[in-house]
Amino acid sequence: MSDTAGSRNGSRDDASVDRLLLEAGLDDDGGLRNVLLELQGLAAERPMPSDAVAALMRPAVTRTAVPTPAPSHVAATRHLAVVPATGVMPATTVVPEFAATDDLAARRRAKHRITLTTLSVTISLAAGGAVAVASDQGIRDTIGQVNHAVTSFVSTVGGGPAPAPVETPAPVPGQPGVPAVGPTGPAVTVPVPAAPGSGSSQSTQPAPTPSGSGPAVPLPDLPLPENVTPGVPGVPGGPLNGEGQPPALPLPPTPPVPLPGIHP
Amino acid sequence: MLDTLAEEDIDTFADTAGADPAVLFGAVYRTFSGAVLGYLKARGVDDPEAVTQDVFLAFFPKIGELTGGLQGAKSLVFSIAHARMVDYYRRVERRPDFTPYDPLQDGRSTASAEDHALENSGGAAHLLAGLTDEHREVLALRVVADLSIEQVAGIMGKSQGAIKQLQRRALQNLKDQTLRRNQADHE
Repeated sequence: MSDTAGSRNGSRDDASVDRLLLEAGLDDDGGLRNVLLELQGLAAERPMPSDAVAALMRPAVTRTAVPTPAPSHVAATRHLAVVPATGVMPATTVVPEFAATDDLAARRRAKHRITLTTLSVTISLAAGGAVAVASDQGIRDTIGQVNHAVTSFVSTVGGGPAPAPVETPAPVPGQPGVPAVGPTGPAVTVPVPAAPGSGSSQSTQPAPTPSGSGPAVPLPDLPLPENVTPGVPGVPGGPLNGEGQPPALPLPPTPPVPLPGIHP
Repeated sequence: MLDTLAEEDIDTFADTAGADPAVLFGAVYRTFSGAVLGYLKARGVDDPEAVTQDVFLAFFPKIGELTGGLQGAKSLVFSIAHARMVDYYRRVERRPDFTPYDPLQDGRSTASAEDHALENSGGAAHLLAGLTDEHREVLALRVVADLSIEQVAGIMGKSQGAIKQLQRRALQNLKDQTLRRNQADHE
């Protein structure tokens, strides 16, 4: 009748049942004891956990585990994929993977260098084209005024060494046609401040314009490349220059540069 | 074997309390899931296996606030199981039409020849047949769940003296029921 009862923890079940009967002051007449043992037997079977319960029993470490160190077979890409997810990088996996990550970083740096070089070349060519365009006399005057305004602004803001920082090719195209108003050759490296020196001989309004609008010229940030298009005759933002040769690179049309005090 | 496992789980609970909840939860499940299932079967709850899983799913979020080690966990687990049992019978009372009648699970039936025939079929509610609800609850918690007088008092919301008295009367009634059943068998 009670085969299952007491089969696993027989002595323990019997003892607890006997204790219970003793507490209740009841004699063991056999019948009641058997029923109580049968009741206890209901607790003998451990149910299988459901999927949800089993999931809760899995330790947190295994749920977010980083692949164990296996230098011979852990791929670089897999390692890189794992690291961002867990944010943990065991020391033992760093060494074998360091070469791979280093290569990738080196490739990234090389790519950045290429991008920078390309950009510099593009800007230089654009500047050269701007110079070619500026070689036209009609434009030169206008641009010379802009150039002087810029130069005076730069010297005012930058102080003594103002000319120096402007020597990079990047800001030069910011005022296309501004640099190298005089020289028509490769003007890539000709700094803006040098232009006034050579351009003053050609400009008809060197001094008054800069002095009048010097410190008060609020030049906006000029993105690269850019063109001074408003009111500039003969240069409708198109690829023209005084020598009739198309520039190396077409000058893209850009919004006009608002330079108060400069009137073409 | 169960004793050994229980001891390991008890050690786990004692040593890693406050550590990974999953480890503690596993120890509690292994130790008490059988007793919870048996308790729900003894109380005649429908689908006791599913309700057992629900009890532990409800228990897991409370692990962080546990006190009293393994015994504290046991009290909490069976408090939840008791509440599920109460909810079950409230639903049954409200919507009796929607509950298919299952004589094996109906603890309210009196002992009969049919009950005797079904004794070994797996249905356990007949074991406590003929007792009042409170008497059935005391015996299920004390005998099946193996809870202490103090723990049963906490779950049923009564004093320990009241629980002792209930237990005594429940055992007496069960004895009387068993006697009547045995006499019926012999007739």
